[in-house]
Amino acid sequence: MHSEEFEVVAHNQNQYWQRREILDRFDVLTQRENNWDGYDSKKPTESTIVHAKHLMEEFFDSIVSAEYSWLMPFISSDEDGNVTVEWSEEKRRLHIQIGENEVEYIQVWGTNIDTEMHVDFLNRDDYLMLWEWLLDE
Amino acid sequence: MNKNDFIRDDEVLYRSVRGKYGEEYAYDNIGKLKISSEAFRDRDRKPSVDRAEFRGFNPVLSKLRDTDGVVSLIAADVRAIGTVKTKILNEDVVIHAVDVVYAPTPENPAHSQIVVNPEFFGSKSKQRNVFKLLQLALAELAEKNGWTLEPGI
Repeated sequence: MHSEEFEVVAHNQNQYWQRREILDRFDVLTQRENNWDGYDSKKPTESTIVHAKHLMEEFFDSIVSAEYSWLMPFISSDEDGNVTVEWSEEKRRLHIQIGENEVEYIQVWGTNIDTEMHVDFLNRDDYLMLWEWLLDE
Repeated sequence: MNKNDFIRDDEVLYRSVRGKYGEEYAYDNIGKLKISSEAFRDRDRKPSVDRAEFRGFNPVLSKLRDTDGVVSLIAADVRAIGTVKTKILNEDVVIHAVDVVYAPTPENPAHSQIVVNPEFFGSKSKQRNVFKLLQLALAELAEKNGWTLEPGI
């Protein structure tokens, strides 16, 4: 195999395992019951998980199609059963909150809620902008 | 009010973090700790912490599960997070100050809560979003401080 072909195969394998890891983390969410954390949190509904999984596949495809490196996020659920996806980088943090019908994101670049955080609804057009912001590019 | 009921700015606060890798904590490719905002999840939107001095500065006592880790926050840093704002349509903005208050229980005499004053109000989704900002700020603080007790120890 030529070295270029080898690189393409390795690249595709890497993306396969990254996608697999995302799906594995969603599998953990499907096994949650109410009060799964001992803090009385609700389990995420099946339709919320389906919605979140679809969104994350779309997000992942946008990032790797643009030839950016993928970073594995935290994938969990909050007290109300929304799926949460979060990346924490050197100086920036990106949090995405996915409910049955709506999706919001929060950009964080410090601990001051007034001046160092921004909240908005998430649209597909925002994916690359947010990734570039997270990577500080 | 007993003088011990007030949490001083210089006090250390412990918080238990779930020990399952990738859920509430992870490491980046150079081994730096990352803490998720979900480590400060709380159904009542008042994350529980323990006053370290009331635990004899033994973080093991603050673990919720054997496999958990423990992170520390300084009370002054929590209070310095700033203010959280909410606004109901056609009404004035309400500013909630972040504080940490002593709330002992029969099972846990060190128990305290991170709260906002006045309490959150408005729709459920609005309250959730404002609380999420608080969780994110707490995660940033915990991540900077690193582990007080690593998971599984």
